[in-house]
Amino acid sequence: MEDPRSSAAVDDPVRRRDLALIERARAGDLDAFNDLVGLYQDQLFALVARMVPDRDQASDAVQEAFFSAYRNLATFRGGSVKSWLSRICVNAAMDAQRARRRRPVQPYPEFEDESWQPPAGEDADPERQVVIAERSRALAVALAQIGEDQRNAIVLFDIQGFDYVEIARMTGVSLGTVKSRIHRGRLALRALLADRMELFCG
Amino acid sequence: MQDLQHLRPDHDEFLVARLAADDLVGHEAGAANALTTECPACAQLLADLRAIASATATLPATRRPRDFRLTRADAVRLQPVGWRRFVARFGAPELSFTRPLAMGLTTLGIAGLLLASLPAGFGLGAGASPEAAGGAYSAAAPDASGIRDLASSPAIVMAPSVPPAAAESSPASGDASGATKSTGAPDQGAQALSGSPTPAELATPGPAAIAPLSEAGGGPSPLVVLSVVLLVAGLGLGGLRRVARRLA
Repeated sequence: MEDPRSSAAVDDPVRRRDLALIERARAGDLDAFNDLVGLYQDQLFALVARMVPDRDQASDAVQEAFFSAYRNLATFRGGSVKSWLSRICVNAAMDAQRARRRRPVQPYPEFEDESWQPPAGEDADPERQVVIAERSRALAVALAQIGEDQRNAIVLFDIQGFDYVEIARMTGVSLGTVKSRIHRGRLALRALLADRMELFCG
Repeated sequence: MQDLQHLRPDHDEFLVARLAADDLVGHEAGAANALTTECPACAQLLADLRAIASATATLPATRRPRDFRLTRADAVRLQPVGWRRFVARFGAPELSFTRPLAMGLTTLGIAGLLLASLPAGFGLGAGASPEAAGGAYSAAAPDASGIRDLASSPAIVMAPSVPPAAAESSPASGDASGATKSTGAPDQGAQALSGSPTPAELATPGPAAIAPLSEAGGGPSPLVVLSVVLLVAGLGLGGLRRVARRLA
């Protein structure tokens, strides 16, 4: 395994930056850790929010994930800091999913208002934006309705861009299971969106 | 939407889904391509799956509701100090070997205590040794040759233990049965007269033969001490790991 302290072994400037911040955080520099948080909190919240449709629970899960990362800085063994943080967030999200199963809440209240949607660009075609927004809403609702395992796999693969091997490591299942969950998850989405597929054409 | 199953008997949605993800090679890819070429519904399914995958990848990110940076108070609370810092080390990946070590020590401790509690007659007890077992038996059992001497001595051959009234009423039969019996196992009455232990007594080792957990000198045996030490060490190590994980 490469030595995380050897910057010569790391060609990617992003990884070099991340490793330097981790090293400073390990030495007790809170600002260095917060710099890492600032770099990845948007992406990680988006990841968790897709896995845990309840926004408040997703927010708590992300905060808890960063607490856990700070507590366990010593457990980072090198490699990609983003993957390491994502793995912690995925675990926190799955914990939140388990808690959700034990205490069911009103399903998907966040889809009743638009505040969670990002604002449209200034030059956006209004009609096109309406279609995109409607498509995103329909897809988000469908994504929240499929099984958790399938949803997690699709979010990690399609949205976050992790490959099969990384997803298998994060979720603790085999490569074949990851692929199967993604394929069956997409089939399930298609079944749920069968009467709205016109939003996805063009 | 058409029911895809009606179009072809060998329609396989999962195969089409794998094709949509470019996960097929060789003859499977050929079969899937043939399926989507010949079946309009399969072709539509393929197009829909790819559109969904593309839309999912471009799904807008949900806005985060707050800043997740840590405060100084959070950092102080999260970093263990004092005994917590010491215990937290046991949860580190570098010390992951402590888990099987704790289980092994605990198992050895329990096994040692079980062995120490076995009777010496099994040869495995704490006080058991070949000499001790032999000595214990020799203390309880007479010399075997002594038994044979008793059996063959004409002075000892006598009538079996029967009630006096029965013996008096049939002296002839008693003599015959007594003579017959005297050639067999040693007579219990004769042995009782000589003060030697009976076969029944020989079958059951006396209290002296059962090895106690403590030695004759009064202290615990080395096996017991060692077992307790291993058990305490194993349980202690396991407990430290559990606390470390809770703190994490």
